[in-house]
Amino acid sequence: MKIPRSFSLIAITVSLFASTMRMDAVDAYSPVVGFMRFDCLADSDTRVSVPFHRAPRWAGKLSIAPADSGNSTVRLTLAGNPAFAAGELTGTPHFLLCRDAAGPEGRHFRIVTHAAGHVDIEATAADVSGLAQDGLISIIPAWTIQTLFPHATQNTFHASTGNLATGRGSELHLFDTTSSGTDLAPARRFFVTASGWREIGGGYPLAGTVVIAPGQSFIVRHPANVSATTFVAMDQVYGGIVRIPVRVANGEKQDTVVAPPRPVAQSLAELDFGAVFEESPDLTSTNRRDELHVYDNTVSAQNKGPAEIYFRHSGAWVRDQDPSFPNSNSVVIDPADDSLLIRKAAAASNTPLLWSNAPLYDVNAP
Amino acid sequence: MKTLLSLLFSAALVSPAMATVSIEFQFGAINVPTGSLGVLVADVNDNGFHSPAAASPGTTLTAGEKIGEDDVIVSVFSNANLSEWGGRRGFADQFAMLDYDFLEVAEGQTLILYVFPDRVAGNPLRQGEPHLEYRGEDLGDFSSHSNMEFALPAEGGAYRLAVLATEVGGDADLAAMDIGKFPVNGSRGNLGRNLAATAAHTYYFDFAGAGAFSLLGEAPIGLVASLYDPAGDLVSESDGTGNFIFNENLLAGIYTLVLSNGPGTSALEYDLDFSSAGLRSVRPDVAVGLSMARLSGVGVYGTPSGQTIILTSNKAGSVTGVTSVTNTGAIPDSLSLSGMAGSSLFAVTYLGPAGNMTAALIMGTANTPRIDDADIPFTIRTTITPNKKKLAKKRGKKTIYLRKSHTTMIRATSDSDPGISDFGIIGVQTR
Repeated sequence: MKIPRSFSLIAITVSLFASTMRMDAVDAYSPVVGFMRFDCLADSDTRVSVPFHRAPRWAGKLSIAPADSGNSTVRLTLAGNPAFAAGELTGTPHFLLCRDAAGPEGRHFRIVTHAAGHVDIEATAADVSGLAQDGLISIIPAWTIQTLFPHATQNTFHASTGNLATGRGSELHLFDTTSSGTDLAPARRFFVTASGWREIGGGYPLAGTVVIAPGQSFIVRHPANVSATTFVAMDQVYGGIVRIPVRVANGEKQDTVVAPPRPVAQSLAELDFGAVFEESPDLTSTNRRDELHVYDNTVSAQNKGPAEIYFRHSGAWVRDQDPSFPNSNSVVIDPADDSLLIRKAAAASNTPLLWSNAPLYDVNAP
Repeated sequence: MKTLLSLLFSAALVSPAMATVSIEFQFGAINVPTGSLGVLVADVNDNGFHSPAAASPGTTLTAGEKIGEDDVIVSVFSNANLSEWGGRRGFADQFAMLDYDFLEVAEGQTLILYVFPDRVAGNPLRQGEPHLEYRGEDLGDFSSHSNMEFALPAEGGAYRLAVLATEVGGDADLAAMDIGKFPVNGSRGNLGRNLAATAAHTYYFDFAGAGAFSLLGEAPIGLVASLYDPAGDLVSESDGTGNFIFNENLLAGIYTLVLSNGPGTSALEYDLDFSSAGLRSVRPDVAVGLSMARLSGVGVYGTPSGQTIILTSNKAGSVTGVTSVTNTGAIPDSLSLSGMAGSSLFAVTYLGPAGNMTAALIMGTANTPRIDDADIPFTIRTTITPNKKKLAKKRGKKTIYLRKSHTTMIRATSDSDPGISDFGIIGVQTR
């Protein structure tokens, strides 16, 4: 396995970890933290991600099986006495991470309401199928723009002096996660000023609380004539399976930008895309099914197209390079340099698939 | 490990599926009314833009609608109330997820910005719809702080199109992006402004019913006023030589008046006076008499007949007459005044409301205030004093006075139109 230049895993003792987290009815373990550094070039779009989660607010078991609350919400009642303060998990957005192999292990669900001892999540009963009493879950604070890049101290983005383009520095772009189709432009754009993060358009409102979902990559856009910067993502490493939605569209192709949830380089064969990737019956473009588009952060340009395109054929990855179509199973995806987009072929429904990625490393962490 | 295929690689592989573009658009600061609507339109068939003022009935300001034959509205947005615009206004928004397939537009098509001061999104366009337009720099040139030209960019990307004036830190000259409703109250309106060297000022007014329209412009040389009807046709245009008067009978509809700075070298100050109460003019009217109650020549113009009085001087005594100067036209104007000098036999003095104005009248430098038909007349007392030393002759013990005469004339001339004047004559006969 290639070790990225910027990757590090560091075991932290449980005593340090316990200071930021309450653990009830759960075995003790040592969290593992790591970091990954992205080089953000001038006059360029750098696609970055955060393959880490924040220290869980709570980890433990369910006291009873989940209950469907209707309106696409499910109630999970927690064992022990979490004693969440009113609004604690929603005023500051939180996700519920399922860690139970009997349930939707590795999936994150946004917490929409809660009480002292239970949480209501955005999910259907089918989404949490298999999760039962004593099911393992963690409650994790969401990454927001402000928590990743505190406006007063961050040094990844060149700050803007105001709303107008004349004072614009760097921008953060979030990809479109709702529209159907391909070649989808970033849906939301932000910049940082001395007074906080602001979203472009609509009066340029403050936007530091905008959530960056697990598995969601985003763009750091630097303008021309500025210095390159770095983004060092760091926090706790996912120790188990992580599942990330991959969208499909009924009757048309669908793009989903995905970020591997691991701070390590992996070959195409190791990315576990097999279950969500439809193989092409031959090498022709006319019969092409799913594609994996790889974007190169080491090339300086804005609105970059993919550097390489891969697809699966006869059980192997091949590069879209006519006429040789070389086998690419061993091609390494370094998340610091490479970013991924899955282009699904037209499907028969709009129900997303779930990309299930297991770690190559062996850590005992949530 | 890999090479960059092309910035447009993905565009080359575009499928029938929807693709989108994100554009941040900033434009300002400009002098337009609060609530003005911005509309970006694409020239789909590269055949030029069709005027929104002549759009088909029922065309609404909605994305996807067509203006004229084939111009497509790409986006509709209100002006943003940012403090950065200062006392002016501008547009600042993001058009996220523009869908070219839905809009039936494509990369490379030229854009134009229309600004509608009197519309909101979804409104229909009216004939003669007042608007401004901006087409940007030559294609291929990016304005500062932009990463796209004034044309639709490739799909899938995030772009910024910024046109910012110097007063907000940019380098664009947006002085011509200036439009407002002519401030008409009832049937009248007036305003005065300064037209910068590169500026153009556009005013619009809704002429509710057919009728008379008159506009007086007090303007320096170089200012050109152009009045357009609802069809966009020129109704009247000044020649740039100074003050102007438009007197027209107009049909109902929305009219647009554009003021431009012909020389474009320095600022031009102007005053406009608008009326729809009737055709108007400046009409100096001079009358004379022994007193203001006994005037001759009221309503008589341009002829001595009817506005001449002859006073009799006994024993070479002084005589006094009154001259009234009015403007019976409805356009307010200042009238320049001139008066004839006396002679060796007759001294003439003119006394105005502010005192002796003999010299100013003789020099032709006197003026009335701006007056119109609603103002009280400007009054001048004319005193003619015969020269007794020259007119009195001794015949023995008797003194006789030579029979001599003298006439004075006061002329009032329109400042706005020097071709229009009237006069009154006061004569004296000694005996």
